[in-house]
Amino acid sequence: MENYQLEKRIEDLNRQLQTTIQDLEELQHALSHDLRAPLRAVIGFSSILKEEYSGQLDDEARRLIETIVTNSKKANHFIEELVSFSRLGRKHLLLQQVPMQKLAWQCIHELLTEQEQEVFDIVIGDLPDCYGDAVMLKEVWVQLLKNAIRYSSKKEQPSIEVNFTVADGLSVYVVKDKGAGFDMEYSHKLFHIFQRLHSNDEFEGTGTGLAIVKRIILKHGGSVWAEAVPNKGSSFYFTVPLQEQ
Amino acid sequence: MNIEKQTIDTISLTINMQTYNEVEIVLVEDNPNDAELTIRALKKINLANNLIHLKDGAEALDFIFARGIYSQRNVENIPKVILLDIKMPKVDGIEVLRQIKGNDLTKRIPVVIMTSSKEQKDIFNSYNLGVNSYVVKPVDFESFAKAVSELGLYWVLLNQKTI
Repeated sequence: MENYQLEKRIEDLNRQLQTTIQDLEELQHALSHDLRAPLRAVIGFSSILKEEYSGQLDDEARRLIETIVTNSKKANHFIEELVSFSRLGRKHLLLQQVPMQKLAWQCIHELLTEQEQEVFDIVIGDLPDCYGDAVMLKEVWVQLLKNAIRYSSKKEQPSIEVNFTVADGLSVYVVKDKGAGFDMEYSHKLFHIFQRLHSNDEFEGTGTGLAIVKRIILKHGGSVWAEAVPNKGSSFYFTVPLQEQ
Repeated sequence: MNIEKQTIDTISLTINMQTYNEVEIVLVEDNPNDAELTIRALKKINLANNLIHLKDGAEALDFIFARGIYSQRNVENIPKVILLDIKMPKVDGIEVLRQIKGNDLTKRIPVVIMTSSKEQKDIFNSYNLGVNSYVVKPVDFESFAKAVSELGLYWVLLNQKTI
């Protein structure tokens, strides 16, 4: 191709990209604005019905209203997660030295009460600082630890181990649990939004946590993967730059 | 056009100029369901007596600046709070806010934005224009009712009105 043809091609692609980004932004706005208003009406008026007419309703009618409210709340939760996920893609990284060990402990304290912490066997090894966006990396810890806690909830002796290793020249942070694990055959679905390897009856969740983790790690130029054995536990690994590059 | 005229007439019939001057809460909301839920929550704590519900930004500007069908209203009688939605037909909430805060007569009226979305641009623009508070309407009913009644109690009863 001639130079001017190439330039024109790049210009065309750029314009297409701009249109796509604009479409996405509009879609996100519609999602968070236009879809939430009708949901608020559904939840609001069902709740009023339940509150003000409960004397005239029998148990079955009340159960039906409860089902409407629960499902509308679920739909709203999905919208919120989807919107914050798509917002993440457009955020710029605020790079600085990040104390990973402190951050991991902070998340543990926020996610578990003191009594709950006693039930868990929690080990956080020596984690070196890294170089990244502290707010986003905290979200990574929150999501990974939340998962470790959630999928350990049915075990008698739940444990969480957070550690750091160097393998094949890569600096790797790892979160290990001895919880429900998963079948490695489906591991390719793990990091996709709204994909789950457990049903909601088994473990609550919307399937956004790991998608958020992957998005953040990729934005840092790192990688993330997992290993697991059903009923024995899972390990989640990620890499991020340790120093300014 | 006819329908609009009719709603305005009904409002004029039910509230006369005397009561326009006693309005404490101005609710600017185009979605009738959201308006009903808001008014209901305020009624529960007895704060809906001196409330006027305006259905879009253009009507809000007419009321606030005592123009059009509200021309008899005394512009110096300022409400205790304006609850303002952003996304509305004709004139949107941001524009209403811009005009209120850009005018010496009205800039001291507390304005609370109540909207469905956490759009960064809207939050930034609102504070830039001098909004007094920015609240994202919860979808969950209990949280919504709680948010509205807390807002009502704060701005109508607790906050010291401007002179």
